[in-house]
Amino acid sequence: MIEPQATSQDISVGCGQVLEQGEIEFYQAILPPLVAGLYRLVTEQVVTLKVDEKKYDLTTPFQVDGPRFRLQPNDVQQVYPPANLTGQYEESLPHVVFRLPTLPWSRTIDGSAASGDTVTTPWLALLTLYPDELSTTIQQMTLNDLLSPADANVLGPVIDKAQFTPEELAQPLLAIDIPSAVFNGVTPSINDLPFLAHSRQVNTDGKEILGLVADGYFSVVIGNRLPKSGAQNSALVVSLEGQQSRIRGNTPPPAGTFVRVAVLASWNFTAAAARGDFIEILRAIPDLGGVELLQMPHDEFTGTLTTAETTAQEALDTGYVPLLNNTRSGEETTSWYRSPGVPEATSLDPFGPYAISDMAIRYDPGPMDDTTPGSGLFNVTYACAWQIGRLLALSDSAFARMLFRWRVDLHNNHDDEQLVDDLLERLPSLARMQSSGGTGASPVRENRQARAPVPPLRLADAAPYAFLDFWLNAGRLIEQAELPRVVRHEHRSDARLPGVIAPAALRAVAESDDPLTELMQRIFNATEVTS
Amino acid sequence: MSRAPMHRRAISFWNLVERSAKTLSPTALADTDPVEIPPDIVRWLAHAMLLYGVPFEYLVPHPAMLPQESFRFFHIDQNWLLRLVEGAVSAGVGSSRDAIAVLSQVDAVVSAAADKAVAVRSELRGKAAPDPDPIPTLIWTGFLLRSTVVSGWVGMEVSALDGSGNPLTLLRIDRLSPTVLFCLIKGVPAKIELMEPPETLHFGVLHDSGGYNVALRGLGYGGFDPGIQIKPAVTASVPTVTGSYSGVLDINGAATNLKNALQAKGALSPQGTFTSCEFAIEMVRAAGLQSFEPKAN
Repeated sequence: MIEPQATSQDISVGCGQVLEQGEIEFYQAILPPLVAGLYRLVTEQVVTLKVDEKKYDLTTPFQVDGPRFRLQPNDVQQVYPPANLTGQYEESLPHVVFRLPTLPWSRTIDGSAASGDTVTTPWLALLTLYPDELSTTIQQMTLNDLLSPADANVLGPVIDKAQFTPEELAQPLLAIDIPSAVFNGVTPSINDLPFLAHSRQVNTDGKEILGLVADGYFSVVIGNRLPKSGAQNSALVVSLEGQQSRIRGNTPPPAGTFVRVAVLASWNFTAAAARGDFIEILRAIPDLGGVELLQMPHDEFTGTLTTAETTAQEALDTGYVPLLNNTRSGEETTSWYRSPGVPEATSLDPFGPYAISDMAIRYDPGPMDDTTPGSGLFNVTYACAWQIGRLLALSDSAFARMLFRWRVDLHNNHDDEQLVDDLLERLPSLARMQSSGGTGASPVRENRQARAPVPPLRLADAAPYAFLDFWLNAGRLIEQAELPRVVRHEHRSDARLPGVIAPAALRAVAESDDPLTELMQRIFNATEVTS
Repeated sequence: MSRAPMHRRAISFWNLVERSAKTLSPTALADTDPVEIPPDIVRWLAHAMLLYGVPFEYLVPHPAMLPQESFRFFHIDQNWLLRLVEGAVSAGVGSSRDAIAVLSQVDAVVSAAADKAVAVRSELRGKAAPDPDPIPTLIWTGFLLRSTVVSGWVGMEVSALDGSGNPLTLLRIDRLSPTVLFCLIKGVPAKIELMEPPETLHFGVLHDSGGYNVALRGLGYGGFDPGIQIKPAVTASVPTVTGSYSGVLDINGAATNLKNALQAKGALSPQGTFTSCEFAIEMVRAAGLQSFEPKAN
């Protein structure tokens, strides 16, 4: 009945030459040609002359710059969990997506030079901090404050200050003081860091994948800590440059000290109170409320059932529920009711449709003896459905108005039809003439003869129909002609066209003493028709 | 909502003659030009047939029928829907003439509304309507789910599959209360699948009684397609760091476990490479999926 499946959805990983739509290609790292830092370009030229050698050299210092203590706002493509949102994140690792594909490897954690193509340890980490672990907030300070904190208990990153100019030292940045024990407890170890950053190429044509909207290369840093449920968590992208001796795996700095780290990005999110796991909750359903059909639960009927019990069991099994019913006469009784959702497919009620709800009430006669089944109860299911439908219609005045207009249209249509029928009944019937071989049987219908005296038709039996062929064909031609389809009613001229009779005129024709003659006159606009 | 007065149809002489030529008894003629059912009425009735606005007590007449943490499958009683429509179009009927005019149209109204009901959901979502059914039927089913997953996973995806695995049209998916999901399906499903909202694709772990773990995905080696979960599912545990700070994962330890599990499965590259990119593929926590099979009655 329930099939427990813990299948996860697969992800589209690209590995071919061409990245298909919606695929992601993962890279261990995208290395910059040069990590950020100070370089010297040394040029040396040796000129060998006949007499001696001369050496010329030139040293050009240059700097490869890169984000170090702060990021531009648009460097961050996406964060997860979304900032300032509450959600079910207790089993998710936060992550941050950067637009700079080389960012985590653009400098080294210890300031050393990168050697060749080896992947360096990322210098960025994404920390998840619980509310009680932070005693201070993120502060704006200068680079000088970060590197040499005024308070001796605050430990700044170990970075050589001499490489910065006074202007650079005065530049503002964001930093936070984290208690040393916390910092040492929650940061990734030096062995963890390489696994927590990767790059990816995304092709997002027409499809949203991981919330990335742009194609291209991105770098991703994953957090190493699950959020605390039922609390606000702070996610901090911090620079670990110069902090490698204080992260987890090292002896923590003395108690009471703080580690001051530069914060490159930060956001808060709230992990909602633990709600368990999607699959676990769903798998528990069969044991709790059960996976059943929509039925009224009842105790087992045991032993030999009486006919009344058989009826009751059958009714309950097919979805009926006995409910208190206040009848119109004031009597209180129990009646059967059944939801539109029933345990098994139903067959069509052959007695519908019903003009009033009471017609839909069914009565099940009570058991006269032990052999006749029956409950002696009313079944008001369909009467309820009928009344709900009417109440819904009445509660929506716009619908009620539409309904009313539609009904007027129906009546008008019916009136028009009736008028034509009346007229046709008084006119000679072409069909009957044809079926009787056109030999001159009376075209006036017998039942009409009993009515007011109708003057006998003066037209010869067959003669008037000679022109009908023409009209028959003309009508078809008109029918086939391309006419504008939508014409406002008041602008329609069809009622004035020759051969067309407006409803009011039709009534006059139908009620005249000699409808055929009258009709001819109106159609041909003649004052007299002579035979 | 003013409107031009009803256009009274003029009749052409040709039409009169044709009708006279076709039948012996003019009154036996069917209505040759029936009044079109206004589309707004059809739309309203289609919503009504999807049980929009029907009080919850009439859907679940007794609380015991839908206890907490329960799944209830049902067929839709077509007679119930027919009576509902009849009641709706009978509002304000003032004469027997009204009643007859309305009841003469009920069949047409019901089939138009049933056709329309199939398109209501796509219309509400601003999507293209599904292809019209060649043989429209009122064989509808549905289910009620009362569970904390309904409130906890807003945006949960529902799919209904028939016996051969083809998806059935979903007529309505609605939360009737924070914890009650109501779904109507066209046809009789063999399987109903509930899936976590896929937009939460992210890194994470699965939690069970034994701690945290992840289900392994293939990396394109050893016959396992990249990104596709290895079946039957193989999991690797993700250890946490013991200490006074909870929730910190031992990433290096997890990477070692993943590498060993993949190596045991032969799913690792011949060089045995396991870096941050393999780690990322394995750690993507994708949406969970749970299926239910309605009991045959």
